[in-house]
Amino acid sequence: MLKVKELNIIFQDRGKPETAVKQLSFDMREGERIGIVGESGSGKTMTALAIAGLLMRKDVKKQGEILWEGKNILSFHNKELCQYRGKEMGMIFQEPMTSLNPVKKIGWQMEESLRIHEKFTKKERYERAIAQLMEVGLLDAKKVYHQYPHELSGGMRQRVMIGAALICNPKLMIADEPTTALDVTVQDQILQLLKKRNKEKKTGILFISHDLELVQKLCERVIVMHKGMIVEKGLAREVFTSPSHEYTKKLIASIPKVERRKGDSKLG
Amino acid sequence: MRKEKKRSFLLGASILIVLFCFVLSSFFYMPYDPNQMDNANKFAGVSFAHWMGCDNFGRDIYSRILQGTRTTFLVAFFTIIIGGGIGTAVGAITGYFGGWIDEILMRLNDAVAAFPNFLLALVVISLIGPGTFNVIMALGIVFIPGFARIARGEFLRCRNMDYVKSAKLMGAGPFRIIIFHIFPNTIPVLLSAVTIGFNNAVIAEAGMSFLGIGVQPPDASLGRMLSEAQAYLFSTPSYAFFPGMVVVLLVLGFSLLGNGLERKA
Repeated sequence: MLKVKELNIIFQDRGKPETAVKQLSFDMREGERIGIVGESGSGKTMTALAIAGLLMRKDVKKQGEILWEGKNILSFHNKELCQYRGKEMGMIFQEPMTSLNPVKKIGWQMEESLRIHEKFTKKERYERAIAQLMEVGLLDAKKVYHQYPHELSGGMRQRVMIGAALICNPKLMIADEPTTALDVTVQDQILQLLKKRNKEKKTGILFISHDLELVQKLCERVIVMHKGMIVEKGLAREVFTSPSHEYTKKLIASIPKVERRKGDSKLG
Repeated sequence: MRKEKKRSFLLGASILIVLFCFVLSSFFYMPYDPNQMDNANKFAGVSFAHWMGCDNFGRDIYSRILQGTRTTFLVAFFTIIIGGGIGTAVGAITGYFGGWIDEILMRLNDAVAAFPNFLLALVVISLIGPGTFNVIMALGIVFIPGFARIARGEFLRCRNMDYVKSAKLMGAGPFRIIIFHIFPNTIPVLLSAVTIGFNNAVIAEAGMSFLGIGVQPPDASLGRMLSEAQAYLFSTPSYAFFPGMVVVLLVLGFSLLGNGLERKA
């Protein structure tokens, strides 16, 4: 489905060029859950932005290929990009507080992708939006539909973001640190939501985080990045139980160790 | 601070509503034909029959003020539509896209803005001739740069917001983002620009009619009346006083309204 081939991302500043991502390659099959971990500045967010087609500025040089169903995203025209975004791929960010338009009602924002990509009637859109709100766990959907973002909590907003990003049933969902700004219990709920979606609709999830534990809970495969390069990749279980690279070992060692109770995580 | 704004808004709004009611009433009932001359009543003072008196041709000043305020409103309104509309569009495009299009349009904008407003309007009028419609065109052009600058700043501020990024990720094209996603967020700022602009338009229209290049006689406009009244300032002060007061109230009303609308800084 998604194939990244020897991707380089280079920032062409006035001075010497800075390489943010070096020779990055990985494949993603349909319905897979892949985690990218790494510290700040490791290039994981850049990778996500490139896959989302958001790095189209001319001063950022991109080499290599990002193939989506055989077509190179990096050479997409604006029209193709608009088609790809929202319909084929949905993305959510770290900041649920600012990712929603403050002056538009939740319902309107939920329906935006439908208005762009589908030819639905007003009523169909409404029903779709309500169903989607219910699906992401906002059970009071009819009320939320008419509310403004400032009336919702952070967790609820992130749910709305997920709902809005997935309303056209894209095949890929990129989640760039979606839980960082949320508290721990809400984090868990959001992860469950993503997992449920993945199981039910076969939505592939590219989960980007610096939090190894979350990645471990959610993903089947992991990619560990450091200074713009992949240092290790493989099945999540194997990478975390027997890391082969020094950096991965250090990362795992730096997880604060707390006595864990049984059944602490419903995800497992 | 908050309370003060509210008071200023209410005061401004009530002044304007009262004025507006008077203007509206004139569509149903005008005491005299504003252009009807009456030799017997030349320079008539304030009386029950003509409660603001009459001018040098014996025309009823109250009726002429109603007529003139209508004209002034009309000119100011369409000036804002043209200047504000084009200005906002220019500002939206330059602010959102940036790059060479921004450079070209904003340098053009600077060139227009470099001339004093009034002078530029005079130049435009001298090119296309006087008249109500031409005044609207001239003032509209003059008002573009101010709106463009304000709108550009707002769009520049908003284009990097996260919600714009998420709109992009939903597949929204640039014009969809500008119109549906960013524009509603700029309304508070643009609205206070509109109230200030309206004021300037009222003053500019009055000024141009005063100079005789705006609304043409015998049509009434507030500026036109003031200019005709200045010759009789000492013999018939009521002639200049009433239209002058209306201009003052209009401008005051919009200033207060704009003040109240402005975001709490």
